[in-house]
Amino acid sequence: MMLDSETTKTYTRPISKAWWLRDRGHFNRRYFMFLLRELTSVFVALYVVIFTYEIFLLTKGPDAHAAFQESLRSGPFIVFFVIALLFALYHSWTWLGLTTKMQAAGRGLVKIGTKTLPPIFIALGSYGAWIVATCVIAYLFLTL
Amino acid sequence: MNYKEHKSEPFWWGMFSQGGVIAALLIPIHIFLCGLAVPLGLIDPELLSYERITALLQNPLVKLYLCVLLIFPLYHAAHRIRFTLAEIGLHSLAKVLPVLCYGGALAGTAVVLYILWVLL
Repeated sequence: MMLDSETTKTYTRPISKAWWLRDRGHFNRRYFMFLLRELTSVFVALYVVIFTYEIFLLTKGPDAHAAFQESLRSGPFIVFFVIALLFALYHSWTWLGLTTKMQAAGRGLVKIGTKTLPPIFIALGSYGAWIVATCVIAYLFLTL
Repeated sequence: MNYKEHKSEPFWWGMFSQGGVIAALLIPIHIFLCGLAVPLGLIDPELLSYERITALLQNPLVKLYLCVLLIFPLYHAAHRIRFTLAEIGLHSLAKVLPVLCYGGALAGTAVVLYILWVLL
């Protein structure tokens, strides 16, 4: 039998519109967490926009700045920042864990001679860098 | 997912990656300090007073830092939003989404640079 591109078609499994909630009748946690992970970027972007707006208000004088700082104390903003912080932490956790995962998957990103460095060292490096960056920013913010 | 690879594609992936690292390392502590710790009164509100922040912004290193903090994550978000919107059903917009998302990030870059280096 001859098979050529005109007589054969690649089978593509039908995917439901809400595949991240229900896939073939079941909730798939991996799909859902994938979507949450992608969603972290929306909160990161929203925070960046708010921060940029805060800096912009400095050009409008002390009163405009103080008024906005006051509104940041309101419930909706606090709730937003709590949610944004949780998403930002999830982004950091997943993003900084990537290189460790690749190392563990045997891709051997980092080698010493012919030996692959145990993934735990990659984890210590990336999460360690996060802790150091966090401490440095907090220190500068509190003391500069 | 099918999309014709534009020659700028590696650049956007690179910016996505840079932004991802910068957001991962720096954004959580900023949200905590400026979004929660000061408004909730956990630390001295004077830390975000007009006088202190404008004084800090006199330092070009602080401006440079804020440029990095505010610009790169925009590209990270643009890239993720572009692909995720297509994957949750907006396949038909696959050609427009890159323009909208990366265009938004480019516009954001211009706004941040303008505020930090022209207005301030």
